[in-house]
Amino acid sequence: MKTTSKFLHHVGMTSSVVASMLLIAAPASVFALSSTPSTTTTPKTSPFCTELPTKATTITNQLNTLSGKLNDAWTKQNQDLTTDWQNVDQKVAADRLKWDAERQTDFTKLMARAKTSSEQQAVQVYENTVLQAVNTRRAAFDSARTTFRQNVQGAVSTRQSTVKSQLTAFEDSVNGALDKAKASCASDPSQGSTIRQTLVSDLKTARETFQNDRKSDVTVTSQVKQYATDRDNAFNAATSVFQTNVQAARQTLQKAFGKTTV
Amino acid sequence: MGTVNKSEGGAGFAVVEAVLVLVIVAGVIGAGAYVYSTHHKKSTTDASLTSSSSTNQAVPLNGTTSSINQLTQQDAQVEGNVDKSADAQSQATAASANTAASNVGGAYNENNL
Repeated sequence: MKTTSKFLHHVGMTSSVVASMLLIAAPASVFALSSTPSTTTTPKTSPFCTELPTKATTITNQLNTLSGKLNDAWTKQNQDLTTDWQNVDQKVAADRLKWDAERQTDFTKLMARAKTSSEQQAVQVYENTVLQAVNTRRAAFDSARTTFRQNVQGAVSTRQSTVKSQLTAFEDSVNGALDKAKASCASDPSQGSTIRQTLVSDLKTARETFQNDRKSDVTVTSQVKQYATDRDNAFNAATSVFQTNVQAARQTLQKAFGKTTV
Repeated sequence: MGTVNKSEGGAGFAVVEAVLVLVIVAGVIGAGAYVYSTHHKKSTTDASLTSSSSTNQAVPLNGTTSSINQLTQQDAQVEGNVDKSADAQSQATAASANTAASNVGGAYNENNL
């Protein structure tokens, strides 16, 4: 009995010691576990990386806004070209009616001066020849005008396509640079300064490339000038043929009348 | 008395003489005006009937080949000018989107990052 009591007392003491050691060791081990990652401490995020998402959104939004305005300008450009040419067509049509009426008045008076049937016939031939020459001249003008407009529209469309491609490349470069910077910040947010330098350099290159491309925008104006010169040359050639035909008709009529003043 | 009568007779002769001079002068002026008028009208008519194709000359009479020539030339010239007058506008329109394109390049200032 005494031996049993002594044994129990010994066990109790041992348990107390072990429990005490556990109480002391447990927090220490927990501390040791929690302090293990201290060798891979999360790096301090740089202000640049913190602000990057906001700044990237600002840049993207501004780019989208200006890109939208450019698309609006192209739409208006096409509409304005159509309007310009409609105005020309309306004026040409009105003028042609006016000249036709005045010319017909002259034909009527000329016919009244014809005393014989042969003279009347000669006036009719003259009238038909002049009208044919006028119609031929007008058809040549219409053709030259159409060619001019097709060329201008083609030059404008080509320029729009070229700038669209340049704009897409610009946007891709900007978005690529921003994505790369975001990825770098996610990888190592403490390297804000280096990441910023790279981003600034990439954005500068993208911007300067796009701006340098703008130097060729002015070529469309010189193209339009050249097309106008080509059209005017066609006008002059048609007018020259027209005058020759009308003059020949006039001489034929003068012969029919037997005098040089008809 | 005789002196007075002589004086009155001289004054009467002077009046008649003055009237005659006026009549002669008026006749000369009238004849000159008639001749000038007739000549001017004739030369204008001749010019209108025989004028060449130049549009700088006086407007020919209606109902002549000169008039028709002039009309047809004016027709062609005016029509060509309508197109030419719209060229400046076409050039401006063709370049109207250039500013918007340039503005895209200013979407940001990378140095402000």
